[in-house]
Amino acid sequence: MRRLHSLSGVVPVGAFLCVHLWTNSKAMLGPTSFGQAVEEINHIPFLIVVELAGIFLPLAFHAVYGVVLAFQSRPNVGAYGYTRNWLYTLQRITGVIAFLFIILHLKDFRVAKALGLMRPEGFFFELGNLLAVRWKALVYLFGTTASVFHFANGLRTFLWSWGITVSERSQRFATLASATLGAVLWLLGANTILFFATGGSMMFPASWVRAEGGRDPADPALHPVSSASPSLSK
Amino acid sequence: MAEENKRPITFRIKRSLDGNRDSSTWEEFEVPWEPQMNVISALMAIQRKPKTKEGRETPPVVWEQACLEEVCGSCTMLINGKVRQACTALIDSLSPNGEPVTIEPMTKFPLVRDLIVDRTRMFENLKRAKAWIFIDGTHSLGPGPRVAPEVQEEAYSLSRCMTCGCCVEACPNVNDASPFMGPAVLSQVRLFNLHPSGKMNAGERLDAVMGEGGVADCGKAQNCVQVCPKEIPLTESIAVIGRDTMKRALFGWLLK
Repeated sequence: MRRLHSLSGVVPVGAFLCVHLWTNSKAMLGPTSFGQAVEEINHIPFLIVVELAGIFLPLAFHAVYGVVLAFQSRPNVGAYGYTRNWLYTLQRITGVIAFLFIILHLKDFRVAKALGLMRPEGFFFELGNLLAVRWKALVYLFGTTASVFHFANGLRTFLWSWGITVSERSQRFATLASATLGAVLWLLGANTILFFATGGSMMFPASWVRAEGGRDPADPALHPVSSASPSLSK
Repeated sequence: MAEENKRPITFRIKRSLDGNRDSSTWEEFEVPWEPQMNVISALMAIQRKPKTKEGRETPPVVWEQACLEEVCGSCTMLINGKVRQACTALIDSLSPNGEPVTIEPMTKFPLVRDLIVDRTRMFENLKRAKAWIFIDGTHSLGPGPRVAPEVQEEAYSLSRCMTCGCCVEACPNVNDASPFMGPAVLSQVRLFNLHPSGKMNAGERLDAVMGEGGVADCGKAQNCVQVCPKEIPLTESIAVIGRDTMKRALFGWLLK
């Protein structure tokens, strides 16, 4: 059962996180590019089955069983403040944060889409509206950070507990590799959020990501929805 | 040793006469400093003169000890909050400037009295995992197969386990809410499955650590390898057993 939990965290949940952050980052190329990506996803055959069996069920299992496991642990970093003991504790904290964040995130988008409140074509603008609310952007940044940490650290412990990285030397290598992957994912995710929230980018000059001639998302012309309906933005 | 260091050392000891943790109380004792003193010699001094710092008579503090050279594991306790053997806990390094030293019984085992806990669970786990080599029979089986020096070296590091309980105590996943057996037995399964004669029962041992409370219940905090006084590569053992049990669970049923 715990082995299944550990596997489900990497594939498909972890893999989905990577793909998801990667697709989202296409938004920085502008609404056309992002819209194309959304379009592609919406044309996957049997999308609802793929979503349910490939993402939602494994995610729900990993999340619910994970919370049970988190509350079975008795962290003791006070007495034994070793690095990996801290990572153990943080893994459980970030897991619970990610659980709550993903519920909020699903409510914001997937449920809204299912109820017909939000059309896939409008995602780009809806995102701009949603993340323009300062506290929401901060919650998203925090939740993404927790999720990415949880995935990268989970990948490291997965490699170890499945007997792939047995020696201390290989474990250190895996730590470095997962940390690098985590950092890249975090940069992707955080930049996307920042892009929607402020129209700027944190690490890269704007010209890098707007090769396609994308415009500033703060540009009112890009916000037909928000200009039509009253919104909390700015 | 500087003169001021010869002041008496204060020991704060967590006590329970009836083995009930909820009614445990702290008592303070003062022991004159002596060269080379360790926690055991301090406990002996308290036993000779069981009087608290305030001068009140009290039943002598009880503890377990045997080898006094960190190979039996019986004097394992929490010293200044961390699990270790009392015999190798030197006062000069614990309390270089006369700081008080706190002593508590281990928390992950049933308490018997004062510093004595009941580690039967660890031995039960070893029995469950058949942590021995089956050699008894009705006739001589002749000399066993030869073991490559490389394997001998690996096995030797694992054979140093003295079942002291440090790894179990420091493990955040060993507690009342979780069924986890702890790291020590997993390493012993690796040891006996390495042995050419022990290999014959490898499957049985893996089965014993595959179910509830087995290797999968490890929480990956890796405190065990940090606190092990015998420097046993416990985290390597957990990874090896994790892989072996996985192979058995995944492919075992395909083959037979």
